[in-house]
Amino acid sequence: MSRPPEDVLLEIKGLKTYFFTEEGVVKAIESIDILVHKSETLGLVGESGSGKSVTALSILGIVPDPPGKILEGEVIFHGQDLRKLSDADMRKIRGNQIAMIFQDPMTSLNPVFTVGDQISEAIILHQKVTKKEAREKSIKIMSLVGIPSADERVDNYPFEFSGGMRQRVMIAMALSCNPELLIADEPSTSLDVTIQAQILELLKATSEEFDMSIILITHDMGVIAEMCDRVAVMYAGFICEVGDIIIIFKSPYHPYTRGLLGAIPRPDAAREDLTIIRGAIPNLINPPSACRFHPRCDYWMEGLCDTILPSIVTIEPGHDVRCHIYTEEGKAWMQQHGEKREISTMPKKATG
Amino acid sequence: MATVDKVDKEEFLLDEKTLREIESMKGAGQWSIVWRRIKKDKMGMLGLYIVLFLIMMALVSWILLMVDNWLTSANLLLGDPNNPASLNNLYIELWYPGMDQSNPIVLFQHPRYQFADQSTLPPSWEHPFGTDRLGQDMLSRVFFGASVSLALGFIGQMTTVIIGTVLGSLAGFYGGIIDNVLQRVIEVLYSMPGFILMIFIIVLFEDVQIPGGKYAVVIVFFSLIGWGGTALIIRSNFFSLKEQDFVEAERALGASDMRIIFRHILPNSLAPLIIIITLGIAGVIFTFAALAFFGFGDPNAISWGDDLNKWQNNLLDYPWMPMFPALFIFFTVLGFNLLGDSLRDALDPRLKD
Repeated sequence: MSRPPEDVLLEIKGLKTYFFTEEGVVKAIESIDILVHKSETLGLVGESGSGKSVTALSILGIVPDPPGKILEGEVIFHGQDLRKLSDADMRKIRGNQIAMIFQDPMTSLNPVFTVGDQISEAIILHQKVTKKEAREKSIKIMSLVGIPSADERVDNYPFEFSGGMRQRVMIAMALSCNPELLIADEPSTSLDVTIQAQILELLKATSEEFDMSIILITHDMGVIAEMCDRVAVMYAGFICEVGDIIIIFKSPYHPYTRGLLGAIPRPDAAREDLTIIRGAIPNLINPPSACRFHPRCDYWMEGLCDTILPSIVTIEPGHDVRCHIYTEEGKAWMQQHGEKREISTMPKKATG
Repeated sequence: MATVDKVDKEEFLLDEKTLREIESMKGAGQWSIVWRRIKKDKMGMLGLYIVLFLIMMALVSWILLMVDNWLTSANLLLGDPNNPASLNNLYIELWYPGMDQSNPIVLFQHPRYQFADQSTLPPSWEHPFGTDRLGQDMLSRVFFGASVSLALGFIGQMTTVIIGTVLGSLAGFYGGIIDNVLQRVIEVLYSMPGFILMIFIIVLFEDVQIPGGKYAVVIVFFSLIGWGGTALIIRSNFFSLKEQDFVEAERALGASDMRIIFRHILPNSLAPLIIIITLGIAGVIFTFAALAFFGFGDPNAISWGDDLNKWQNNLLDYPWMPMFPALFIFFTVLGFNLLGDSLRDALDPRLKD
């Protein structure tokens, strides 16, 4: 399912972002390669602390510095490397062509300004409009994202809104300049379930209406299944597996993806214990060597996974895996040790 | 809000009191809460009334002096513009029915007008605050002194706060080297005795002529050495505010640093700023009065501090001369302090009523 290169909107190549803290260097992102095509929704999934949000901030170039720093890599948007742009040029792209919505709508709005002021500001920052025009546009976009009686609510302060309505305001701010790419950093995590569904539905509808690509960051596989065309699975600063949503859910190749899917409770499955992934996400100041997943992996090839970083293996066009099970080194190791490492095509639970 | 309006009041059988409460909840923004809290605080209200009274007094006297200066310079009224004592074209008369119209009681005389043969008079109906040794009416002196004394306090405090806010914001937002340098500078400023430094500077610049008179020099140097406290408070405020998510959200929208600092974070620091300004004005007025008291003011200015300095030696023989300016300094400082304390409590988000 690969698409022609002119369809690519954003390409991240070898991104590396570290945080230089007093405790040591946090190697938050070691090497990330992502492709986002036009008007597609890419899911970015992983445990807390796997570097999903840092990836998002790195794309926009707003990693808090100090302590964060993007060390290597290219972020190519419309054929130009965003990392080489000047601050002023980058500001023109932020909010205008690439917008972002944040996890917690309770704190992401400035408490001392009305929501109308804040949406208008986003518009005024990027478009040559008067305050009055911006305000009218704000009202229009607020009703578009489903805020009732927008012409009255425009003069309300954030504390007068519920969580779901605030997230709608955030989405309105993000949409106000018709961005081509929307980065949604766990947009539904802090909302209750019914509101979550509404917000996701809204994102889906607006992405179609605006013909906009979305990078949806979440740790909820259910949300991914609902929303995305493709999904990238992140673990401790690496992308383990990227692929079409159906491929990833049906036949995951990476042990970590398999573990994630196995950990989803399923209403249709027999009552069994959920499979869990042993251990916890590593401390990224002293991450495990080579493949950072090897200490938790059931398929650990001793002497290989902990010494040589697996290269990216393309299973089929558009489906990449970073695991030694599929590399030449891995096959050699299996032959040498006479052990077989093979992942059953379906996660254990799905068969139950 | 629309939802409240749409409630059918009849149907829910709400009594008048509840309805009024609902009505009052509608505009329950931060400022109406603050205002409600101040209204409850008797001392705060007293402070507010004192401050409002003094501001009115200063404004009225300033406007009167301006009008007088303009009339005089435009030669619209008699009087020798080169001799301030002859500028007697400004006065407020007191009229009451049946009085002798040819001899009205003059309530406020020009503060520089010297009554011939009327020096060192104790308080009387004609001169409620008495007269000084030059025959100037003390009530008029005190009334017209308000504008200079309060203006010094306001301007001195505002320039100080502006410098402190800008530097504190930048240090708090960027941290690192900028913050380090700022802190060392503040430590140096704190380690110098400010009052003596001020006196030193005033003496140094005694012969320098700049528009605005001697007090312009004093205000400039006062602001240059006095901004440390404000900067430290704003800096620490910024340290917590800059970590808030809305700063990141604003950055993702493409706002520049300056826009984030001054348009988004600073308005969130408004509460501490208001407290700093109110409480600080009292201190600045006090400092300038003290400078004048020690003879480092402007002897030509009409201000409470300078009058106090002029007549301090007459405290025992003519007590009204230094007493009335001193009383007004006292009430000003008291008023601003009461209001400032009340504001500090009212703006504290941890207190709920």
